[in-house]
Amino acid sequence: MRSEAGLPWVLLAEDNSDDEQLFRRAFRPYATQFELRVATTGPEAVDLLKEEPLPVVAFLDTRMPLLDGFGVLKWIRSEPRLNSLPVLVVSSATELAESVGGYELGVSSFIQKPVDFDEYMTTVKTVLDYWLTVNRNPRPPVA
Amino acid sequence: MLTSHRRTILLVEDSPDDERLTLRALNRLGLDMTIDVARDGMEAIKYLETCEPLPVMVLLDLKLPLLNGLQVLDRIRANPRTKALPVIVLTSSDEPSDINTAYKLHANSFVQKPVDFSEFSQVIGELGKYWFVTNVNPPTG
Repeated sequence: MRSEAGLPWVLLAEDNSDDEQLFRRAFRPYATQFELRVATTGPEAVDLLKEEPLPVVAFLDTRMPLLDGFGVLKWIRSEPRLNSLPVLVVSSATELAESVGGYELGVSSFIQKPVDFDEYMTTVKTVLDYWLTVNRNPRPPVA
Repeated sequence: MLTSHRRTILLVEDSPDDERLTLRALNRLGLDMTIDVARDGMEAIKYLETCEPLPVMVLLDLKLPLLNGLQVLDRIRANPRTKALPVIVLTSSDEPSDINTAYKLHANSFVQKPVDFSEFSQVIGELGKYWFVTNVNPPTG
């Protein structure tokens, strides 16, 4: 349910500012319907997720200081109120064996970050299109 | 020696019309995939218990005979063999209770089947592209 106070929101946990800017650009077509909130560390992401309402979807980079994407994912899946949240993990690692760990921890989707800037832009657009228009996200309970 | 095996999708769908439309839309993508179909919940569970290799994903209707989709999902997650398997619920329902329960049972995604024919094709196409191309699926070993 949308609150009077604001738009439904999307969490991006990303410590690389270039990648954040790229994501914001790809997010622009959705900016009238959704708010984008960015955490640059794992603990910051956790803090944002402790608030109400929940985001509709969370994108977590695997590489973040203090607490990485998998750490945040593990915390999310341990919290009953967050357990149903669609969570994507984005990895720049070349070793895709990481994905096994992600799925074991309950990731909804695992994306590899292309090295090429234009390719990454396309990937983010595809990802946003899927999760914000095709996918039906869970409805958080109304207080 | 280089072995390539075609990746498989399991479609769990009891409506012959929806099956036909879904297969057509997926095949139109021109991706190197095999699509296996189970027509009820029990068939789906039996398939997943013994298939080699595992499919890379399951497209799961909720309205099924014998065992409904949510029960199938529950069993998929309870079996260590299929616990991590991407499951995309693909159903005509958009009941909030179905959506929320599906996610509680750890569906990866929930997509409502459009009623409109051409929209159906488009949505399945986007779904197929996302989960077969963009998403990195767990290795099926």
